[in-house]
Amino acid sequence: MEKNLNKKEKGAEALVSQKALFNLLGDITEAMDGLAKTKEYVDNIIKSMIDTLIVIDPDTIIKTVNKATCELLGYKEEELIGKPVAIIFAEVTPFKGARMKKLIEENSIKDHGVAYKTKSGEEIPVSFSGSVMRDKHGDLVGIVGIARDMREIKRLMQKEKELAAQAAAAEADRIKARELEIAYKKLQETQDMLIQAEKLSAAGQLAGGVAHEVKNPLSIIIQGVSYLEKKLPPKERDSIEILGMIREGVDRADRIIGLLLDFSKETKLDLRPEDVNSILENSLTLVKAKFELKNIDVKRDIKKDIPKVLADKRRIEQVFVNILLNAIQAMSEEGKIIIRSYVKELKEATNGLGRRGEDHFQIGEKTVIVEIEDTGAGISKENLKKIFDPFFTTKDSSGGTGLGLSVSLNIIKMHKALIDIKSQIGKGTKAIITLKVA
Amino acid sequence: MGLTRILIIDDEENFCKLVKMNLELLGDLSVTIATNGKMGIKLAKKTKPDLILLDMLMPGMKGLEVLERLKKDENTMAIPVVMLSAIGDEPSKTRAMELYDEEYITKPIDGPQLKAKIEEVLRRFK
Repeated sequence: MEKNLNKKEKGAEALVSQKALFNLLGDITEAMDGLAKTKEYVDNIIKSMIDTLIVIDPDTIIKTVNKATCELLGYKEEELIGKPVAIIFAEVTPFKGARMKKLIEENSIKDHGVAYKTKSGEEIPVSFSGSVMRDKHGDLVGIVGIARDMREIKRLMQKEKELAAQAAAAEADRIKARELEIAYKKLQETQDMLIQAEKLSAAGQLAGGVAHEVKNPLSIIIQGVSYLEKKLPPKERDSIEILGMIREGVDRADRIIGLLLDFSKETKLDLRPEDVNSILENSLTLVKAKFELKNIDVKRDIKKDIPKVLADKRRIEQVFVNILLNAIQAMSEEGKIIIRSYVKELKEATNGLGRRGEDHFQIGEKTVIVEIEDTGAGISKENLKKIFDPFFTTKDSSGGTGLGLSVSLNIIKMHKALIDIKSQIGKGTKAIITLKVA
Repeated sequence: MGLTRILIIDDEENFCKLVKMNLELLGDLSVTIATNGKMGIKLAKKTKPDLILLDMLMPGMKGLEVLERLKKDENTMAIPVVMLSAIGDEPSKTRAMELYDEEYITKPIDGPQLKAKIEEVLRRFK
């Protein structure tokens, strides 16, 4: 057929082919331009990436690195291209053994914690993600890896951890300080109790030692007084009055010695089931004259049929009398004293100032309570702490010995009972005695 | 009826003298004084008093020992003893009471109280 084509036709055919070629070339040029533009575009993306990017071939040889990678690792691009990827990893690379197998099987790995190694040998923790590239037949052609510098994040995490640790330590310190405070308070209470016990014990020892030495001269004085009283004619009123004063002085000195002797640990109790109301009545009778002298009104709020208490009658009477005498002393004329007795089931330990005595009671235990309340001057907080100390007194020299309450406390302790003194300046004082049911 | 004879054994001489003066002043009593245990035992054997007032805490021979010797001697064992105590020797006092069931009085005591106690003990012993 070619043979049959004339010259003109052949020329036309050549023109067409030439035109097609031109068109093709144009297309190619256009395509190449597009390709170049795409490459430039992709290069720009890669370059401007903050995260590092590497591309390796199936033999783990570095084919591409971006600017971020070079800057992070301190290499120039040409120093990395063509090198095994292992040179940029500190120890473990994701492109070896089981990791590589997994990567190829799963086509990608995400956020693996590994370390890059810089040119100078510094190790940088990175979070590495990789993705497998395959051709249209599915064959492996390379792997793209992106790594993020984790130093700042790790630093922040570390900082956060440190802050959390600091907060925990501060909390622990606070708890410790609180525990320390509680322990210190407890220690102080124990110390107070020890000092109190020491004072009582010292007073007891002193009493034992001096009792004999003091009581003998007192005996001489009182015998002398008796003799002179008998000898003096009734008209010698002044002399008889003086003898009366001497007798009173001897009685007082003897009473103090007696109170001091009460501190002696050898003092034994005669514990029996006793009716606390009748002990209260006896005590009131003993101080009746003093009430009447000051015109003090005594009000009773006494519950009948309360169980008997385990007590040494004489001793508990002594405690009640001591408290009643203190109440009378604290009041001016026409005051009021309220006496209460009742049964109470212990719900919780009281913790007021002035509370003393060993805690021998159980929560829920049935106890007998005696309250002696006055409308006197009251006791300051400062003094309330000292009222059980031997020789502590706010009364003038004509008044008390400062032994009444410390002796009472000793008696209460021997009974394994409790005494609690509550007071308000200007309003009055209340003594609460908790006794064991027999 | 003659005088009731009392022997007081106490190292406090002034006390003994005043007890003697008081008891004799109050009537019907005659008091002999011994200011130590040995002298007391000797006088007790010799004079056989109706009652002995015996101080528990004396230098030298103590009251308890004097009491034991008096109670062992057939010449003095029947004489009632009232012990005088200034609460300086509680264990001895307790022991004396347990052993011999004797009375005791605590110092200080005035004349009339002492006389009342003596009369009470003598009534019991008759």
